This record gives sequence, C-alpha cells and structure tokens, in this order.
Amino acid sequence: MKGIKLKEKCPIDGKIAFLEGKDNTYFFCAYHYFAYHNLKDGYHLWNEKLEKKLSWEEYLDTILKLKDKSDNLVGEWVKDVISFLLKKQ
Amino acid sequence: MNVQESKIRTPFVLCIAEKPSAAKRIANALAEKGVEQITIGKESIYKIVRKNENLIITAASGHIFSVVQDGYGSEFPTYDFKWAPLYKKSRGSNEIKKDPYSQRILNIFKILKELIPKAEKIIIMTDYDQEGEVIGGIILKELGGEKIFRTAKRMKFSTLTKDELKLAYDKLLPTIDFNLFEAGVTRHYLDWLYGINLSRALMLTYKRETSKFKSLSTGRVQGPTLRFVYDREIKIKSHVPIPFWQIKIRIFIDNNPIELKIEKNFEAEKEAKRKAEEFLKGEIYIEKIEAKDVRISPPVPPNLSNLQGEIYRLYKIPPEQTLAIAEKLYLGALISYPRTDAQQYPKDLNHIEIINKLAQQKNYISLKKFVLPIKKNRPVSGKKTDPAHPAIYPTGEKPDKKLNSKEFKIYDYIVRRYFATLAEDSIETRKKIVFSINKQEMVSITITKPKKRGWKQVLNIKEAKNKFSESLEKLREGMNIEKFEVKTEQKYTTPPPRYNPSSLLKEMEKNEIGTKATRAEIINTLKKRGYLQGKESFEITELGLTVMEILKQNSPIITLPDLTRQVEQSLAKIERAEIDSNTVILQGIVYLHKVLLDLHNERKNIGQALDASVDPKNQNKQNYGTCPICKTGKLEIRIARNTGKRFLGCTNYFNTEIKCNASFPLPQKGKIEKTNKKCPADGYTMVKVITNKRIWYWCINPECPERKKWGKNSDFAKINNEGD
Repeated sequence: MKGIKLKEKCPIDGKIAFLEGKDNTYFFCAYHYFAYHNLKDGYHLWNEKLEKKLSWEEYLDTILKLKDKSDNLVGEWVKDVISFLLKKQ
Repeated sequence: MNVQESKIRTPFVLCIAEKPSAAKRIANALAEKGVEQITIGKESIYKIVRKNENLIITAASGHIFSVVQDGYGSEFPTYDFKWAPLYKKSRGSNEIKKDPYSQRILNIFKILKELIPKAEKIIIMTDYDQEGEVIGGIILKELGGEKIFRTAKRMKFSTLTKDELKLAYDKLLPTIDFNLFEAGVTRHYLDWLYGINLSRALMLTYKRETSKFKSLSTGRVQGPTLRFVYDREIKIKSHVPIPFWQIKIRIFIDNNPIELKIEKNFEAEKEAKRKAEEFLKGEIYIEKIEAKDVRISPPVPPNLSNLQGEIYRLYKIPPEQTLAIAEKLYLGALISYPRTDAQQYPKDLNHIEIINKLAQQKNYISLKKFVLPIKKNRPVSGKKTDPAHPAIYPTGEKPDKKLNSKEFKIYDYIVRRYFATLAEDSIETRKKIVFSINKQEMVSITITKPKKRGWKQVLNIKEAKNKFSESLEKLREGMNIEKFEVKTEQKYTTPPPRYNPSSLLKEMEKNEIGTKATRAEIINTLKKRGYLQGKESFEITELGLTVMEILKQNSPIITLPDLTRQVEQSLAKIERAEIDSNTVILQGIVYLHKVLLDLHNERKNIGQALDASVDPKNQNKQNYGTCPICKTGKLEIRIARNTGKRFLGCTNYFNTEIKCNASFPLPQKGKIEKTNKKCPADGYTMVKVITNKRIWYWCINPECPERKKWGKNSDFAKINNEGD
C-alpha cells in the first residue's frame, strides 16, 4: 500500500484512504477498498452463474440480505461498502 | 533465619532445582535418612544425606534473572544488554521492587548468593531443556563466576518419581550442556533485542506524534502470530459469497428418506437444473456393494501441542491453562515433563510397572485388560522427537490430594491416552454402497460398524451411527430404487473459519513459530495488548489491524514466519556447535537496525494510524472552533496525561513551527457538545455541557468576566437552545 494520500479519508470509517482506492467517485481505506473490489468481481461472477441477470443494485441488495447461521457469510467490510453505496444511490 | 543462622556447615553439595516444589520432591526422593527442612524467610531449603555426602537442596523460582538494557534511557535502537536480577526496579538501578513476588526473588537470590561460593560441589537439577539450562547456568555465572559455571554437575531427569531421580543422581553429567545453554541465552538476547526495540519504536512514535501513551508491543514471534490472524481476518471481513449449486437426491427405502449427495458442485444454475431434470427422468440402481474391515491404529504418545489441542477440543480448556496444569501434575510426580516435542516414550520405560501402579487407582482398574503385550509395535510411536524429553506419560504415582475438575480431566486424558497407545487396534467394518444415477454419476454411502473397539474404548470414543443403517443393510447389488426425489440447492462460498486457541497453536507449530513452552503465552500476550479479542475464536481488533499494517508496510519480513524459522535454525546450529552465538546475535542486530530505520522514517504516518486505532473516537474528532490564541489551529478535546482531566487544546500543539500551547479547562462531569454560540462577554467559543441534572453553556475562557459571576441560577447558565 504505497502512496498514502493523507487528505483523503475513507467515507465509511474516516481512516486514511489510499491512492489505489480511487475508483471514479470514491476513496476507500485499504480494507474497504479491498472489499469493494471483491464486490465488483463478485458481480461479474454472480451474473455468469445465475439464470436471471441482476442489476448492480439488485446484486448489492441480495448480498446484504444473505445470512448463514453465524451471520458470517458476508464480510463486515463488504456490508459497510454495500450500505454506503446503497445510501449514496 | 538467614543462611548463617541455619547451621549449614561445609562441606556440602549444593543442589539447585527449578522450583521449590521440585526441590522438596527431589529431597524426599534422594534422602537416605530423613529430610531436614530449614526455612529462610519464606523459602525452604532441604538438608539430606546421600552416599555420605551432605546435600543442601534449594530452588530457583523459574528465572530469577532476566535480560535488561545495559545503561540508561528508553530510546531505540538499544543494543547493549546484560543479565539482572528480576527484583530490581529498573535497568541499571539498585532499587528493589516492593511487590511480594520481587521480595521472594530477592530472598532466593540472597540464599543462592551465600550458598554457591561455600559449596564443595554444585549440581544443577533444573528441568532438562533450553530454559532449564539457562536458569541454572545464569545463576552459576552471575552468582558464582565462570569457574563454578564450568565445573558444576548436571542431573538429567524427565519425571520427578523417586526411582528416576535416584537413577539420575547416580548418573550425573559432568557439566551442564554448554551448547544448549548458549542456544538458550541467544534466544533470550534475540527476543530482547527484537522485542524491546520494535515495541519502543511503536510506543515512542505514538507518544511523539500524539503526546499520548499506550502500551504497545511486538516481537519476532508476536509479529508472525498476529499476521496469521490478520491474514485470516482480511479474508473473512472482505468475503463476498459466490453462489454454486448442488444436486441432492433423496431415495426412500422402507419409507425412510436417505440423502445422496452428488460430490460435484455445479458452477452455473442452468447446468445444475438441466442435470437435475435428467436425473429425475432416469433411473437409480445399486451398482455395487463393497465391504471391508479397516484397522485403525491407536493415537501416538502425545507431545505438548497434541495434549493442548486435544484438551481444547474435548473440554475447551485454553492451551496456556493446559500447560500450567500439566506442569503442576509434573511437579506432583504424576506425569513426565510436559514441555516436550517428542511423540515417543523412552526405550527403557518400565511400562509393566506403570500399568500395575495405575491399575491400583480405581478409575483405571478396568483399563489394564486392554493392554497388549509389550513388543515391537506396542506401544505405538509418533515421528517427532525431542533430544531433552520423551512424550508425555503418566508415572503411575497416585495423586497426594484430590485433583480439581480441570486437573482431573487433563490427568485422566493423559492416563487414558497412555493406555490407548498400548492397546489393540480398533477394527471397523465399512460397507460402501455405490448408486448409479442414470448411468452418469456414481454416488456412494458408507455404513460403518465397529467390529472391535480396541483403543477407542480406552479413550471413551463414541461411534457415529447412521440413522438408517438397518434399511441400508437390506440393499443388494443390482436393485432398482423405485422412489426418489431430485432437487437442486443453491449454496454459497463461505469465508475461512476464525482461528481458535487450538488451531492458532497448530498453525504456529506448523510454521515453527515459538517454542512448545512459549506458544500459548504469546497468544495470551497478543490478547493482553488488545490486538486480539474473543475466547473461543480470535478476532483481530482495530489496534491489531493497525499494528500489523504498520509492520507489514515497513518491514514485512518481521511479520512472516521465515525470520523466526531462520532464527530457530540458527539456534539449533548453536546447539550442535556449528555456529557461534555472537555471529547469530550480530546478524540479528544488522537486520533489526534496518527495520528500525524504516520505522523511524515513516513515523508521521505510523503515529497517525496508531492514534486512530488506539482511540477510534479520534477519527471523527470534533473541532470546537478556531484557536483564539494562534488563530490558525483548531480546538479539540484532549486528556491531560498527568491528571487524566479533559481540556480543549489546539491542534497546532503538534506543529513544530507554531507549537501553540493554548489550553482551556473543561467541566469534568457530563457530556460536552459543540455549539455555534459565542460568549457575549468576551467572544470566546461556548460549549454545551449536559449532565443528568442540567444542561448549560460554558464559555471556554477561564478569565471570562461573566463566567466568574455564574451560579446555578444565573440566566446565562440556564438551558438555552436558541441559535444552536
């Protein structure tokens, strides 16, 4: 994680955001950035696998509602990012 | 009473045990006529006669010396060290700590200091491993000098039973193991160098960048251990579940529903559904039935990690507690020395005697019948060895007093596992029924039936039962399944499980991190430092994440097992006299210096990152307006380090050019909230103070002419939300 941009803060937890985290509109800290990218990669995979294609919003909503017995199925940082993105929209 | 008053007359042989309870047991075992107990302060020493020699048996209390900085200061880097008694207040100081533990160490120190020079001969009787060698060797070096260190004898034993102790006394080693000692002290030096310097680098950087204090630490073993949890946490917290599909077939035999699971996972929904439809239209018949007997060997003799893992699995007793209890059982002569890596018993161990002794205890009478004759393949042995000690086994001695519940569980497991290693194989009949699904997929179900329970009965292992095994037994090759259902099930990829005390310990062992004796303690330290949380599964905290991020960015190798593994290999080489201790220490310092320089260069970022994690509130720290003194800084709430009281301070305090010292006291009770109000008297910022009883506004200026007049009933101080 090189190139710390000190003035930018992660909109989710206020931590220092990393340059690599710049994705059009949002800066995220390293952890939320990682989660965000997993989400984006996941979107393509979901639509490759499902019969009925999902829109980005439907996908986010579906992931957020997924639960297993221990509620550990969806990563905490992934949930943070989804909540942030849905709120923004 | 002191040593002089205690009628100890020369000539005498001084025997130094590792702990007082071991000293007492050794004295009782070796005494030919009787044991005279002499109390000096709160310590007991034992006078006995053996083979016409007067023996004085005394004890350390584990380590009574530790590595400290040689010289003053708390800066980093610091590479000068020495050994100092544990009772001293700080490095280089002669002040004595007042707590009971330090007072006890002082007393032991005085006893040893007086007895060592007077002794005709000295025998080190500490536990026979690296630590035992260091405990004994350093006492001799520091209190007796090089000559005594070189000439003292060594008694080697693995259990504190009378017979073994007598035998060990008859076969004294001519000196301590100098190579083992060198390896042990080198480990202490390296741990000190890495621990003190890296921890100071974190703490001092945090202090200098934030003017706050927090106890932070890391080291060459802590770093990689935390890294395991960190890497796992990243995977868990950023896990996005991806769907996949499974096909489940439910067959009905005697109307009993039995699930058949197709092992293959289907990546796409469409493919899974198509396949399921095909299966539904097709037929299911029994392709073949295979039955065979499978022999299962007993578990091998346990080393410490095996014991800790099994006890955690069975009883959820944390590994560090298992070690503490096992040590207590060892000091009670009930089991062999527990800090061992070996999975093999000593070749000359008298199993018949141990079995007969154990069979005298009512809990174990029934286990004797499971034991096979001792021959080539019994007892079973594991692969791991330890040059110092064998695997853990019971001595056969009966407990002197009633064991508490946890002690009994661990003792009972050790006894049963010992019997299991000597017992018959367990035999089970496994019947594999292979179903052909539409001539495309083969799915099998295995029914297991115990034929001979063998060692499993010794360890009280329950057999898993298949609910419908009776119905399945009726199936024959070629039979068609008339009634069945097929369905697809959507599943999701799951994140890896969090580490628990046992799995983290296993990961450390697999990666050769730490020693058998220190691993559990390292995990405990990570918890104490606030890097890990949770009892049954470990979650990394915000602070743990930040510390790891800092180390990973600035010196990744400190967080990887490779460095520690290299050190362990170097220590093993010292033990084998293949490399010099000084070379290993120097290599360590050269590497460490580079890491410290990198950390120093990144101090600003490190300070900020730590600040946000140590006190997460700091991330969204509110500012309470512009500083009225420097006019550029912002006011924020801070806590005075000396008094613990809160106040408003200027952010330019940390700006080395401006260094604004402005500070404004705040009420110490109640919640402080920011407002947009300005004081009508002097124009200073006003804050809102909310307590259980009232809410009022507070001008931050202590010299405010109006504030001085305020009383509870002042109009100015009354609730007023206008303009807020």
